[in-house]
Amino acid sequence: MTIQVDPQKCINCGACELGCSFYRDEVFTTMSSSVMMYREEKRNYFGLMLKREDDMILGRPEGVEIQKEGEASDSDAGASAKPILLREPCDECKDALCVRFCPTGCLIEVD
Amino acid sequence: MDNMYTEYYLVVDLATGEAEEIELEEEFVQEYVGGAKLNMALYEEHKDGDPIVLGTGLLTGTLVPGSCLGVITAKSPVTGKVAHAPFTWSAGAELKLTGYSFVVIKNKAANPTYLWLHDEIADFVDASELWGKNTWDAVDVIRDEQGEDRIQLLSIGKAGENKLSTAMITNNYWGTGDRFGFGALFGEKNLKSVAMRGMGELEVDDPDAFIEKTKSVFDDVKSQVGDAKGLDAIDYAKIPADLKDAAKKQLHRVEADFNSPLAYKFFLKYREDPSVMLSTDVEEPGVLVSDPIGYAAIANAGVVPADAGEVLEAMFKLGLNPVAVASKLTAKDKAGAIAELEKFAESSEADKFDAVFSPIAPMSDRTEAAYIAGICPVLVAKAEALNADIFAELASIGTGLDFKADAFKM
Ligand code: SF4
Ligand code: SF4
Repeated sequence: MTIQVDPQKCINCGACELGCSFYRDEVFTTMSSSVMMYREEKRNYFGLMLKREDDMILGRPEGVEIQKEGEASDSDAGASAKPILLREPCDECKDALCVRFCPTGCLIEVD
Repeated sequence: MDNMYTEYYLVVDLATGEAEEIELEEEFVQEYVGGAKLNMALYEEHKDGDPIVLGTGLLTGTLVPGSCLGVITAKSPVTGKVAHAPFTWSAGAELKLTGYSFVVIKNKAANPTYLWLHDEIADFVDASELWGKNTWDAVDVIRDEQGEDRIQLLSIGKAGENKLSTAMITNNYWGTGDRFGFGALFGEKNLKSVAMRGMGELEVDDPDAFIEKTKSVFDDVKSQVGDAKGLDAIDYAKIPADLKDAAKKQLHRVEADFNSPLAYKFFLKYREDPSVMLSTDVEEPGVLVSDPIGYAAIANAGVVPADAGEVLEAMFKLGLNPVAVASKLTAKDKAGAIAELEKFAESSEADKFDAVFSPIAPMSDRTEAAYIAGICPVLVAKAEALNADIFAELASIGTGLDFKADAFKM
């Protein structure tokens, strides 16, 4: 099982952050999830990042990019990706709460 | 409280610059539950200091759909009575995660100040340089000063500084449900902004049961909400057809409040092609229509629909309540309307009306319950699965206490 991202569907609600954080620690917070939203609020540029074992999925509004470990990105999403480097990578958990509580189908599980 | 809330709430005295942490006792929560109801109890207790109470509900910040609600409770300069206004987006949950589920702000600061709440710390920061700045610049300065772009803010612009009943407390660059002139109270207190960022965690008494119940509520809510987005999602407000057309042409993306499936907010781009998805060097391409009713009021006042977004932006920057000032506009174009708004921010008065809860969504027993539970009233209007019985059940599972449905009445 792996998670696929369709960033154009995202409505930036953050349920995925809450869901994954809850899966990890059984508390409500946005701080410990493997998935993380970013937003340039005034420009309305928003998307999400998913940290995986060996790489990171950048779900930008203009498209999805897989960033290998150690690779720098010149985009703003890369710059704001810093805090996620400290997070646990996605362990492709069963009945993933990030997917179950995503209201738009932006995050889906694929085999 | 061990579960669902933070351990403490905060009482801030702007006159002395002191902030006192007070334990949020289980008995207090059992009696007043939260949101507007617990805010009201705190208001009464601190009445002498003409307080503004910012509060959350038991469900705020949890996975329960629509858990974005924060409530501002204070005496309204418009109605002359104690009233409750919602703030949503990410700010409601952020308040709780700062470590303070409730904050009582009383008395008046000697000099312009902003309150910086973060990780169980309350800082009083000098805001002399910010006084006179529009709300957008204030957000940029404070986020820059504190080095975090996810800081959530409740602020005032010129209208609030001038203590006008037409003033609205803004949320980041956008609006709140403040129709009560609470912005004027910030102004009277010399309070430019409350800035919030938290890394808190909310514990749950029975996590597995809570998540399973929440998931079934989520499924019901999703099917009741359906696919309606943007202006089509607000079926209780009169939205002129030509405004819908204009909004479609400028539409960038639809968005939801924190943990809400209802994407009734939407971003309009009018200084850049709305189909541009990239982040470009156009710094201020448009506006988030966080307040569809306010947006509709601008068009209903006769402003050209294509200009309504830009006029709304000007209202947010000046910290004016769109519903209170739209009907006073005589100009039909944006340049004329914005010039009028500059004047309204110097001097204007809101029409009186009578309400205890902000008229941003239709009132019902479920709406009242939502204001206590910490659930978005706009979502509640669409989703019958969100009601006092469900709130009581979730509150009981989450806290380990026993709540009945009638606790979710004022
Ligand atoms: S699949 Fe599981 S571990 Fe991965 S992001 Fe989703 S909730 Fe977190
Ligand atoms: S839950 Fe889905 S729609 Fe909401 S922010 Fe996450 S990916 Fe986007």
